Amino acid sequence: MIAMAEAFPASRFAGFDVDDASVARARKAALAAGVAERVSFEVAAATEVPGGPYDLVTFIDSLHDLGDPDGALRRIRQVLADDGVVLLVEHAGSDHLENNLHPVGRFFYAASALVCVPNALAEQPAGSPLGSIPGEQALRRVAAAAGFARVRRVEVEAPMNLLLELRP
Amino acid sequence: MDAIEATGEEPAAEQVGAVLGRLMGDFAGTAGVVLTALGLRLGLWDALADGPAVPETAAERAGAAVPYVREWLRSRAAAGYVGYDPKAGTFCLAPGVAAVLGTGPLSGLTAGMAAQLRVWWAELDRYEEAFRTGQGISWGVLPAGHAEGMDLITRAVVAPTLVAEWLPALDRVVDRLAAGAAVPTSAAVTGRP
Repeated sequence: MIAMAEAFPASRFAGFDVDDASVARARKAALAAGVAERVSFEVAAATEVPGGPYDLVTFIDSLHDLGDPDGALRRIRQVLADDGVVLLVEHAGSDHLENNLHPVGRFFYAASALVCVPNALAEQPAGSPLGSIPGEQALRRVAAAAGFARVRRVEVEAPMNLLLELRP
Repeated sequence: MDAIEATGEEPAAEQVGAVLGRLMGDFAGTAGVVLTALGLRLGLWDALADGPAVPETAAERAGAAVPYVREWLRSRAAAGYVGYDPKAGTFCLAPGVAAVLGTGPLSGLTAGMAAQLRVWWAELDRYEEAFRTGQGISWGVLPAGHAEGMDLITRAVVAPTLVAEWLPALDRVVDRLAAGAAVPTSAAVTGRP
Protein backbone atom coordinates (compact mmCIF):
# COMPACT_ATOMS: atom_id res chain seq x y z
CA MET A 1 0.00 0.00 0.00
CA ILE A 2 2.92 2.30 0.69
CA ALA A 3 4.15 1.55 -2.83
CA MET A 4 0.77 2.66 -4.19
CA ALA A 5 0.86 5.82 -2.09
CA GLU A 6 4.30 6.63 -3.48
CA ALA A 7 3.09 6.04 -7.04
CA PHE A 8 -0.09 8.12 -6.66
CA PRO A 9 0.66 11.18 -4.51
CA ALA A 10 -2.79 12.71 -5.06
CA SER A 11 -4.70 9.78 -3.54
CA ARG A 12 -5.36 8.76 0.02
CA PHE A 13 -5.06 5.18 1.27
CA ALA A 14 -6.39 3.25 4.24
CA GLY A 15 -5.26 -0.19 5.38
CA PHE A 16 -7.10 -2.52 7.73
CA ASP A 17 -5.99 -5.61 9.59
CA VAL A 18 -7.13 -7.41 12.72
CA ASP A 19 -3.55 -7.92 13.90
CA ASP A 20 -2.51 -4.87 15.93
CA ALA A 21 1.19 -5.67 15.68
CA SER A 22 0.92 -5.66 11.88
CA VAL A 23 -0.93 -2.35 11.97
CA ALA A 24 1.73 -0.84 14.24
CA ARG A 25 4.50 -2.02 11.92
CA ALA A 26 2.68 -0.69 8.86
CA ARG A 27 2.24 2.74 10.49
CA LYS A 28 5.95 2.85 11.25
CA ALA A 29 6.75 1.91 7.65
CA ALA A 30 4.44 4.63 6.31
CA LEU A 31 6.17 7.20 8.52
CA ALA A 32 9.58 6.02 7.34
CA ALA A 33 8.45 6.28 3.72
CA GLY A 34 7.19 9.81 4.26
CA VAL A 35 3.62 9.06 3.19
CA ALA A 36 1.94 8.90 6.60
CA GLU A 37 -0.28 11.92 6.05
CA ARG A 38 -2.02 10.17 3.15
CA VAL A 39 -1.84 6.62 4.46
CA SER A 40 -3.68 5.38 7.53
CA PHE A 41 -3.70 1.96 9.10
CA GLU A 42 -6.41 0.86 11.50
CA VAL A 43 -7.22 -2.30 13.40
CA ALA A 44 -10.46 -3.56 11.89
CA ALA A 45 -11.84 -6.82 10.60
CA ALA A 46 -12.54 -6.91 6.87
CA THR A 47 -16.19 -7.48 7.71
CA GLU A 48 -16.25 -4.17 9.60
CA VAL A 49 -14.18 -1.87 7.41
CA PRO A 50 -15.16 1.70 8.31
CA GLY A 51 -15.41 4.78 6.12
CA GLY A 52 -15.88 5.02 2.41
CA PRO A 53 -17.10 5.32 -0.20
CA TYR A 54 -13.85 3.99 -1.64
CA ASP A 55 -12.79 4.07 -5.29
CA LEU A 56 -10.54 1.06 -5.12
CA VAL A 57 -10.27 -1.81 -2.68
CA THR A 58 -7.53 -4.40 -3.00
CA PHE A 59 -7.25 -7.86 -1.51
CA ILE A 60 -3.73 -9.10 -2.23
CA ASP A 61 -3.43 -12.81 -1.45
CA SER A 62 -5.50 -12.12 1.63
CA LEU A 63 -9.17 -13.02 1.10
CA HIS A 64 -8.40 -16.71 1.66
CA ASP A 65 -6.82 -15.83 5.03
CA LEU A 66 -10.08 -14.46 6.37
CA GLY A 67 -12.50 -16.42 8.51
CA ASP A 68 -15.49 -14.92 6.73
CA PRO A 69 -14.53 -14.09 3.14
CA ASP A 70 -18.17 -13.85 2.07
CA GLY A 71 -18.89 -11.34 4.82
CA ALA A 72 -15.75 -9.40 3.98
CA LEU A 73 -16.76 -8.94 0.35
CA ARG A 74 -20.32 -8.04 1.39
CA ARG A 75 -18.91 -5.33 3.66
CA ILE A 76 -16.63 -4.06 0.90
CA ARG A 77 -19.63 -3.84 -1.44
CA GLN A 78 -21.26 -1.54 1.14
CA VAL A 79 -18.31 0.83 1.46
CA LEU A 80 -17.35 0.81 -2.23
CA ALA A 81 -18.37 3.72 -4.44
CA ASP A 82 -21.03 2.73 -6.96
CA ASP A 83 -18.47 3.09 -9.73
CA GLY A 84 -15.66 1.68 -7.57
CA VAL A 85 -13.47 -1.33 -8.28
CA VAL A 86 -12.19 -4.25 -6.25
CA LEU A 87 -8.90 -5.83 -7.25
CA LEU A 88 -8.97 -9.36 -5.92
CA VAL A 89 -5.59 -11.06 -6.20
CA GLU A 90 -5.35 -14.70 -5.24
CA HIS A 91 -2.85 -17.50 -5.72
CA ALA A 92 -3.15 -19.03 -9.17
CA GLY A 93 -4.60 -22.48 -9.49
CA SER A 94 -7.45 -24.55 -10.77
CA ASP A 95 -10.76 -25.17 -8.99
CA HIS A 96 -9.91 -28.84 -9.44
CA LEU A 97 -7.33 -30.28 -7.09
CA GLU A 98 -6.07 -32.75 -9.64
CA ASN A 99 -4.83 -29.86 -11.79
CA ASN A 100 -2.84 -28.33 -8.91
CA LEU A 101 -0.68 -31.33 -8.04
CA HIS A 102 2.58 -29.76 -9.19
CA PRO A 103 5.42 -27.81 -7.51
CA VAL A 104 3.45 -24.55 -7.19
CA GLY A 105 0.49 -26.37 -5.70
CA ARG A 106 2.86 -28.28 -3.48
CA PHE A 107 4.09 -25.02 -1.99
CA PHE A 108 0.77 -23.19 -1.73
CA TYR A 109 -1.12 -26.09 -0.17
CA ALA A 110 1.63 -26.39 2.44
CA ALA A 111 1.48 -22.66 3.16
CA SER A 112 -2.29 -23.00 3.29
CA ALA A 113 -2.11 -25.61 6.05
CA LEU A 114 0.50 -23.64 8.02
CA VAL A 115 -0.71 -20.06 7.58
CA CYS A 116 -3.99 -19.47 5.78
CA VAL A 117 -6.27 -22.12 7.22
CA PRO A 118 -5.00 -21.64 10.82
CA ASN A 119 -5.69 -17.90 10.63
CA ALA A 120 -9.11 -18.36 9.04
CA LEU A 121 -10.04 -20.88 11.74
CA ALA A 122 -8.85 -18.47 14.44
CA GLU A 123 -11.20 -15.82 13.05
CA GLN A 124 -14.10 -18.21 12.54
CA PRO A 125 -13.86 -21.43 14.56
CA ALA A 126 -15.32 -24.44 12.74
CA GLY A 127 -15.52 -22.34 9.60
CA SER A 128 -14.84 -23.59 6.12
CA PRO A 129 -11.73 -21.73 4.90
CA LEU A 130 -11.17 -21.14 1.19
CA GLY A 131 -7.60 -22.41 1.35
CA SER A 132 -4.75 -20.70 -0.41
CA ILE A 133 -5.74 -21.93 -3.89
CA PRO A 134 -9.44 -21.03 -3.90
CA GLY A 135 -9.89 -21.28 -7.69
CA GLU A 136 -11.54 -18.80 -10.04
CA GLN A 137 -15.02 -20.32 -10.03
CA ALA A 138 -15.18 -20.39 -6.24
CA LEU A 139 -14.08 -16.74 -6.13
CA ARG A 140 -16.69 -15.79 -8.71
CA ARG A 141 -19.38 -17.45 -6.58
CA VAL A 142 -18.26 -15.51 -3.48
CA ALA A 143 -18.16 -12.25 -5.46
CA ALA A 144 -21.60 -12.77 -6.97
CA ALA A 145 -23.09 -13.61 -3.58
CA ALA A 146 -21.64 -10.37 -2.18
CA GLY A 147 -23.36 -8.28 -4.85
CA PHE A 148 -20.68 -7.87 -7.48
CA ALA A 149 -22.44 -8.22 -10.82
CA ARG A 150 -19.42 -7.75 -13.04
CA VAL A 151 -16.36 -9.94 -12.57
CA ARG A 152 -13.54 -9.85 -15.08
CA ARG A 153 -10.41 -11.95 -15.22
CA VAL A 154 -7.49 -9.54 -15.52
CA GLU A 155 -4.99 -10.92 -17.97
CA VAL A 156 -1.49 -10.16 -16.78
CA GLU A 157 1.80 -12.05 -16.85
CA ALA A 158 1.58 -13.42 -13.30
CA PRO A 159 2.06 -17.19 -13.24
CA MET A 160 1.67 -17.37 -9.45
CA ASN A 161 -1.42 -15.17 -9.24
CA LEU A 162 -5.01 -14.95 -10.38
CA LEU A 163 -6.39 -11.42 -10.73
CA LEU A 164 -10.09 -10.59 -10.76
CA GLU A 165 -11.65 -7.16 -11.22
CA LEU A 166 -14.96 -6.86 -9.35
CA ARG A 167 -17.56 -4.17 -9.96
CA PRO A 168 -21.05 -3.79 -8.50
CA MET B 1 -3.34 -60.91 7.29
CA ASP B 2 -2.09 -57.39 6.78
CA ALA B 3 -3.06 -54.86 4.14
CA ILE B 4 -0.22 -55.72 1.83
CA GLU B 5 -1.13 -59.38 1.73
CA ALA B 6 -4.80 -58.50 1.35
CA THR B 7 -4.17 -56.55 -1.81
CA GLY B 8 -1.58 -59.00 -3.00
CA GLU B 9 0.77 -56.10 -3.65
CA GLU B 10 4.28 -56.16 -2.28
CA PRO B 11 5.95 -52.82 -2.81
CA ALA B 12 8.71 -53.34 -5.31
CA ALA B 13 12.18 -52.43 -4.12
CA GLU B 14 12.36 -49.74 -6.79
CA GLN B 15 9.11 -48.19 -5.51
CA VAL B 16 10.51 -47.96 -2.01
CA GLY B 17 13.70 -46.59 -3.49
CA ALA B 18 11.77 -43.95 -5.40
CA VAL B 19 10.03 -42.79 -2.22
CA LEU B 20 13.34 -42.60 -0.39
CA GLY B 21 14.77 -40.65 -3.30
CA ARG B 22 11.86 -38.21 -3.19
CA LEU B 23 12.34 -37.76 0.55
CA MET B 24 16.07 -37.25 0.06
CA GLY B 25 15.21 -34.44 -2.32
CA ASP B 26 12.99 -32.84 0.33
CA PHE B 27 15.72 -33.18 2.97
CA ALA B 28 18.25 -31.64 0.59
CA GLY B 29 15.92 -28.76 -0.22
CA THR B 30 14.99 -28.10 3.39
CA ALA B 31 18.57 -28.20 4.67
CA GLY B 32 19.73 -26.27 1.61
CA VAL B 33 17.36 -23.36 2.25
CA VAL B 34 19.02 -22.97 5.65
CA LEU B 35 22.34 -22.47 3.87
CA THR B 36 20.82 -20.19 1.24
CA ALA B 37 19.40 -18.00 4.00
CA LEU B 38 22.73 -18.02 5.83
CA GLY B 39 24.34 -16.88 2.59
CA LEU B 40 22.08 -13.82 2.60
CA ARG B 41 22.93 -12.98 6.20
CA LEU B 42 26.67 -13.45 5.65
CA GLY B 43 26.87 -11.76 2.26
CA LEU B 44 28.16 -14.92 0.59
CA TRP B 45 25.98 -14.44 -2.48
CA ASP B 46 27.30 -10.92 -2.93
CA ALA B 47 30.84 -12.20 -2.37
CA LEU B 48 30.47 -14.58 -5.29
CA ALA B 49 28.83 -11.89 -7.41
CA ASP B 50 32.19 -10.09 -7.33
CA GLY B 51 33.61 -12.85 -9.54
CA PRO B 52 34.71 -16.50 -9.51
CA ALA B 53 36.47 -17.44 -6.30
CA VAL B 54 38.17 -20.31 -4.56
CA PRO B 55 36.74 -20.93 -1.07
CA GLU B 56 39.53 -18.94 0.58
CA THR B 57 38.77 -15.89 -1.55
CA ALA B 58 35.00 -16.14 -1.08
CA ALA B 59 35.50 -16.51 2.67
CA GLU B 60 37.78 -13.49 2.80
CA ARG B 61 35.35 -11.36 0.79
CA ALA B 62 32.47 -12.25 3.12
CA GLY B 63 34.49 -12.19 6.32
CA ALA B 64 33.59 -15.81 7.13
CA ALA B 65 35.54 -18.93 8.08
CA VAL B 66 36.98 -21.01 5.24
CA PRO B 67 35.87 -24.51 6.34
CA TYR B 68 32.24 -23.37 6.57
CA VAL B 69 32.35 -21.43 3.34
CA ARG B 70 33.91 -24.39 1.49
CA GLU B 71 31.02 -26.67 2.40
CA TRP B 72 28.53 -23.90 1.74
CA LEU B 73 29.93 -23.51 -1.79
CA ARG B 74 29.87 -27.25 -2.41
CA SER B 75 26.30 -27.59 -1.23
CA ARG B 76 25.06 -24.59 -3.23
CA ALA B 77 26.92 -25.93 -6.28
CA ALA B 78 25.20 -29.30 -5.89
CA ALA B 79 21.90 -27.42 -5.72
CA GLY B 80 22.63 -25.57 -8.97
CA TYR B 81 22.85 -22.03 -7.61
CA VAL B 82 26.62 -21.99 -7.89
CA GLY B 83 28.82 -23.16 -10.74
CA TYR B 84 32.09 -25.02 -10.21
CA ASP B 85 35.18 -25.05 -12.40
CA PRO B 86 37.09 -28.21 -11.45
CA LYS B 87 40.27 -27.10 -13.23
CA ALA B 88 40.57 -23.77 -11.46
CA GLY B 89 38.82 -24.92 -8.29
CA THR B 90 36.70 -21.76 -8.43
CA PHE B 91 33.03 -21.22 -7.74
CA CYS B 92 30.81 -18.65 -9.41
CA LEU B 93 27.15 -17.64 -9.36
CA ALA B 94 24.93 -19.47 -11.84
CA PRO B 95 23.18 -17.18 -14.35
CA GLY B 96 20.30 -15.23 -12.80
CA VAL B 97 21.26 -15.97 -9.21
CA ALA B 98 22.64 -12.50 -8.49
CA ALA B 99 19.29 -10.95 -9.44
CA VAL B 100 17.41 -13.13 -6.95
CA LEU B 101 19.86 -13.62 -4.07
CA GLY B 102 22.23 -10.67 -4.40
CA THR B 103 21.59 -7.37 -2.68
CA GLY B 104 18.47 -6.09 -4.36
CA PRO B 105 14.70 -5.97 -4.08
CA LEU B 106 14.13 -9.66 -4.85
CA SER B 107 16.35 -10.96 -2.02
CA GLY B 108 13.50 -10.19 0.39
CA LEU B 109 11.61 -13.13 -1.06
CA THR B 110 14.17 -15.60 0.24
CA ALA B 111 14.87 -13.74 3.47
CA GLY B 112 11.14 -13.56 4.19
CA MET B 113 10.52 -17.17 3.27
CA ALA B 114 13.38 -18.23 5.56
CA ALA B 115 11.86 -16.21 8.42
CA GLN B 116 8.55 -18.00 7.96
CA LEU B 117 10.10 -21.47 7.63
CA ARG B 118 11.95 -20.85 10.86
CA VAL B 119 8.67 -20.10 12.66
CA TRP B 120 6.91 -23.14 11.19
CA TRP B 121 9.59 -25.46 12.51
CA ALA B 122 9.76 -23.72 15.87
CA GLU B 123 5.97 -23.94 16.26
CA LEU B 124 5.69 -27.63 15.37
CA ASP B 125 4.06 -28.45 18.73
CA ARG B 126 1.47 -25.73 18.24
CA TYR B 127 0.63 -27.01 14.76
CA GLU B 128 0.31 -30.58 16.01
CA GLU B 129 -2.15 -29.40 18.65
CA ALA B 130 -4.11 -27.34 16.10
CA PHE B 131 -4.39 -30.30 13.73
CA ARG B 132 -5.76 -32.43 16.57
CA THR B 133 -8.24 -29.89 17.93
CA GLY B 134 -9.16 -27.94 14.81
CA GLN B 135 -8.45 -24.71 16.65
CA GLY B 136 -7.08 -21.77 14.71
CA ILE B 137 -3.74 -20.00 14.99
CA SER B 138 -3.98 -16.29 14.34
CA TRP B 139 -1.11 -14.26 12.91
CA GLY B 140 -0.86 -12.42 16.20
CA VAL B 141 0.11 -15.45 18.28
CA LEU B 142 3.01 -16.48 16.05
CA PRO B 143 6.44 -14.95 16.71
CA ALA B 144 6.91 -11.54 15.07
CA GLY B 145 9.35 -13.03 12.57
CA HIS B 146 6.43 -14.63 10.77
CA ALA B 147 4.65 -11.38 9.90
CA GLU B 148 7.98 -9.65 9.28
CA GLY B 149 8.82 -12.40 6.81
CA MET B 150 5.51 -11.85 5.05
CA ASP B 151 6.30 -8.16 4.88
CA LEU B 152 9.67 -8.86 3.24
CA ILE B 153 8.03 -11.17 0.70
CA THR B 154 5.32 -8.62 -0.08
CA ARG B 155 7.84 -5.83 -0.60
CA ALA B 156 9.94 -8.04 -2.84
CA VAL B 157 7.36 -9.59 -5.13
CA VAL B 158 4.00 -7.87 -4.68
CA ALA B 159 4.56 -4.13 -4.28
CA PRO B 160 6.56 -3.53 -7.49
CA THR B 161 4.24 -5.68 -9.61
CA LEU B 162 1.08 -4.18 -8.13
CA VAL B 163 2.01 -0.66 -9.15
CA ALA B 164 3.81 -1.41 -12.42
CA GLU B 165 1.59 -4.12 -13.87
CA TRP B 166 -1.57 -4.99 -11.97
CA LEU B 167 -3.18 -1.60 -11.39
CA PRO B 168 -2.54 -0.51 -15.01
CA ALA B 169 -4.33 -3.66 -16.19
CA LEU B 170 -7.53 -2.54 -14.46
CA ASP B 171 -10.09 -0.53 -16.36
CA ARG B 172 -9.53 3.26 -15.83
CA VAL B 173 -8.14 2.84 -12.32
CA VAL B 174 -4.69 4.39 -12.76
CA ASP B 175 -6.11 7.63 -14.18
CA ARG B 176 -8.42 7.86 -11.25
CA LEU B 177 -5.65 7.28 -8.70
CA ALA B 178 -3.40 9.76 -10.45
CA ALA B 179 -6.15 12.38 -10.38
CA GLY B 180 -6.58 11.75 -6.67
CA ALA B 181 -8.27 14.84 -5.27
CA ALA B 182 -10.25 15.21 -8.48
CA VAL B 183 -11.86 11.90 -7.70
CA PRO B 184 -14.53 12.59 -5.12
CA THR B 185 -13.52 9.82 -2.73
CA SER B 186 -10.46 7.99 -1.61
CA ALA B 187 -8.74 4.72 -2.29
CA ALA B 188 -8.42 1.96 0.20
CA VAL B 189 -6.70 -1.29 0.69
CA THR B 190 -7.72 -4.09 2.90
CA GLY B 191 -5.66 -7.07 3.78
CA ARG B 192 -2.16 -7.35 5.09
CA PRO B 193 -0.15 -4.18 4.95
